[in-house]
Amino acid sequence: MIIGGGNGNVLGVRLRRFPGLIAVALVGAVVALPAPALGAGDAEAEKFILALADQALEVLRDDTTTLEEREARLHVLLRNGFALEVIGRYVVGRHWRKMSPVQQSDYQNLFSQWTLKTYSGRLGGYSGQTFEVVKTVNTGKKDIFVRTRMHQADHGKPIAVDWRVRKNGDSYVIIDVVVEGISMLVTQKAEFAALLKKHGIEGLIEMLRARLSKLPVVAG
Amino acid sequence: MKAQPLLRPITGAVMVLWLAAGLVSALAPAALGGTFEEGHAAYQRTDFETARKIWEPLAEAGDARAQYNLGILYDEGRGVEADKAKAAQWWLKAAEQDMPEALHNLASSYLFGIEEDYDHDQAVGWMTRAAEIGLARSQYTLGKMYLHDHGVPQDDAKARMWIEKAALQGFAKAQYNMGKLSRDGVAGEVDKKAAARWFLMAAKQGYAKAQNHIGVRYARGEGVDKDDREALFWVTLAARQGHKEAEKNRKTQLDKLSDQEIAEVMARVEAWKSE
Repeated sequence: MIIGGGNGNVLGVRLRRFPGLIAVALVGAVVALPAPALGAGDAEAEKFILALADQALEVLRDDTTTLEEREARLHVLLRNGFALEVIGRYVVGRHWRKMSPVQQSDYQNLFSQWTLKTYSGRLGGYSGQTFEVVKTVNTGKKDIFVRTRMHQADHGKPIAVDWRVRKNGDSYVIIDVVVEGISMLVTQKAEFAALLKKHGIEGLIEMLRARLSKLPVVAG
Repeated sequence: MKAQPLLRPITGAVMVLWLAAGLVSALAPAALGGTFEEGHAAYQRTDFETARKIWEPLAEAGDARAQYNLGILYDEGRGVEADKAKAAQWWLKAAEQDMPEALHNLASSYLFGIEEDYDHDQAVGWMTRAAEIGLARSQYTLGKMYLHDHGVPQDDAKARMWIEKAALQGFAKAQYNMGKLSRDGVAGEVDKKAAARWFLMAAKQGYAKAQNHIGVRYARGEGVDKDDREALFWVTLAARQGHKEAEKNRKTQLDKLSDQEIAEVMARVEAWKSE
């Protein structure tokens, strides 16, 4: 069992902490044992999560490069692991059809970059938590839920994290991360709906652009 | 489906590597003595809590770099609950010391960010200061604000002036935008050759949109001599970054070339590195 300090509030069930949980889960998942006696699709979905975690760990372990470089490499990984276009389209709902082709392309590009930046930027606090795959649930529809459980360093109540995974050709992609029953997709959609109502499509695009334009920490 | 959960505790030795940072932060007192550089080292090993505890007293004492970096921790919620207002407060302190990065991030926050409210006057003011000091990203952003009537009345001449300054400093997005301004004759003559030169500069830095644009220009012979192999080369690089239009353009180019020519181009693509 791994015991460490970590950052307690990373695992607080706060919506804005989700990306941290994703990082934690990806790191932890790699050492979970292989799944016994699951349906073929279920085992594959679980294997996909494990493989992604394995690669994420490899990137994180490389302390010969700067954090910025490690995060850039993690971008590439997550870009392949998450169904960013599906997610991006879903979270703007009916506004998608109202966008011009240029707006759609700009939005998807910015949304992907912003999501990747947010996810990969929350690597702090992963140490000290433990992670376990509880089970994999095939809903019988197109998505599979890989159920995992996060144990906090301070032995507080474990947190349930479900990965909604969808088959995509020969591989799988992550559609949603559900923490304690609260869906990242649904939360993101609500945030964007409020923003779209107030500032419109261009406002949403400008907001993403402004957030992405910010500069990182200085070394000296 | 098994009814019983399959509990699988982590026992892997690999995780041990990640303990050190966690233990350090667990043992850290509320505020740590330490240099700015020690704070940065903690940040690099993703021990954001320790970084914050080292930087906080330095920031209180007036160290602009520590103030600025603290702002990032709060803005991005690294090792602390995300708090945009607190981030802006720290950036303001560093901005008042004329630190370009702090000026830029503060302006970006006002542009769109602190609790989703605009304050365009503040955004323009701080962004202009950063641009005047010479930060390319701020020059570019300010130029785009003038171009798109964003927080300031539209002014094509000012837009072009700021974007060109950033482009001349080598800022890829600004070079790409100079390509578009030259192509369309915004605040100047239409100049297809200049447009192609700007697109090529940004393309060489790996900017996907510019790679597609210069590829199209080679395919059409617009501002450059027509060259289908060059066209395939650049649209392939753009397509590899997920640029949708470039993927279509690539298919068109493939039909124009022999297998031998395609193989030669692909070898160049494999060997290519951004400048």
